[in-house]
Amino acid sequence: MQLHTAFDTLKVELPDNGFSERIVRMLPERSPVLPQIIVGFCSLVGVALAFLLVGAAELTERMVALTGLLNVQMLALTEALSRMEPLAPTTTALCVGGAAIAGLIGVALGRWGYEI
Amino acid sequence: MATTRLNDALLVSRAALAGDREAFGRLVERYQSPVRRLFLHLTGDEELSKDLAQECFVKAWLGVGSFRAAANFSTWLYRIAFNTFHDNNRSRRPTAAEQDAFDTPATPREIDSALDLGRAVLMLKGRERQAVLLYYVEDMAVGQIARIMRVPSGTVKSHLARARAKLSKYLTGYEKQ
Repeated sequence: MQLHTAFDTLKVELPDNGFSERIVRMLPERSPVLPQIIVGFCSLVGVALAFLLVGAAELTERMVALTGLLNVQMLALTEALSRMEPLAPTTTALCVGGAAIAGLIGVALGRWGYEI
Repeated sequence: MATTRLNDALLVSRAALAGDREAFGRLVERYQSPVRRLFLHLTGDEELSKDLAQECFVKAWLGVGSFRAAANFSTWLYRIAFNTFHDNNRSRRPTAAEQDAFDTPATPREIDSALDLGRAVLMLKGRERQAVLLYYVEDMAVGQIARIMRVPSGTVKSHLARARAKLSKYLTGYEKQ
């Protein structure tokens, strides 16, 4: 008798019959607070970097201007953006760099942080 | 296979990051049959196999934060099952008679009255039994079994070779009756 064929008799599917449900009901509480702290922290760092590098006044002015354009004149988003003065290359680079740093910190902490 | 791995990874992420019991429950549904079947054939005891499977899934839930997506979930889960089985084994040492039973040449009368394949598997030593069940019943490759048992592939092959020789002896003897 070939062993492979013989073992086919052992390959039975066992019906669940509520087993999974019982397991889920008996699972102890886990409240993974640390990942939420990491995400929140990285968000705050990203926002803080944006304000720090670009400047609160300029950011606020641009956000208000964009909102005003959309609300009052109901223009398409691309038309509204095209009316705005483009950010200086340095400012753009700083914003992107700051977001990238925050993202890397988030990835690193997410990868290793919950081993702590 | 790739889709299953991706689905498992998504469910594990939700369970690990958000403590999502429903997501973990879907993993339990997917793997309850193979895990329970493994324990059933390892122990030969239906109630014990359910208890061990339960313990295995609870350990998986508690340790899900340490799951590394580099290994697939099933390998990780079977490793927990492997450890659970051996922890249980350590707490109930087999008798000397049980240890030696398989090495003693069986008489025709013994073969005739004794063993179908399931019970023959139970007579194997723990690691041989595990390797045989993962290879022949769960259709795993030697490499995956090696990762689960945390031994070299050569060791898995040795376990399989010894187990095959023992099982063939009994099955051949059984057929001749």
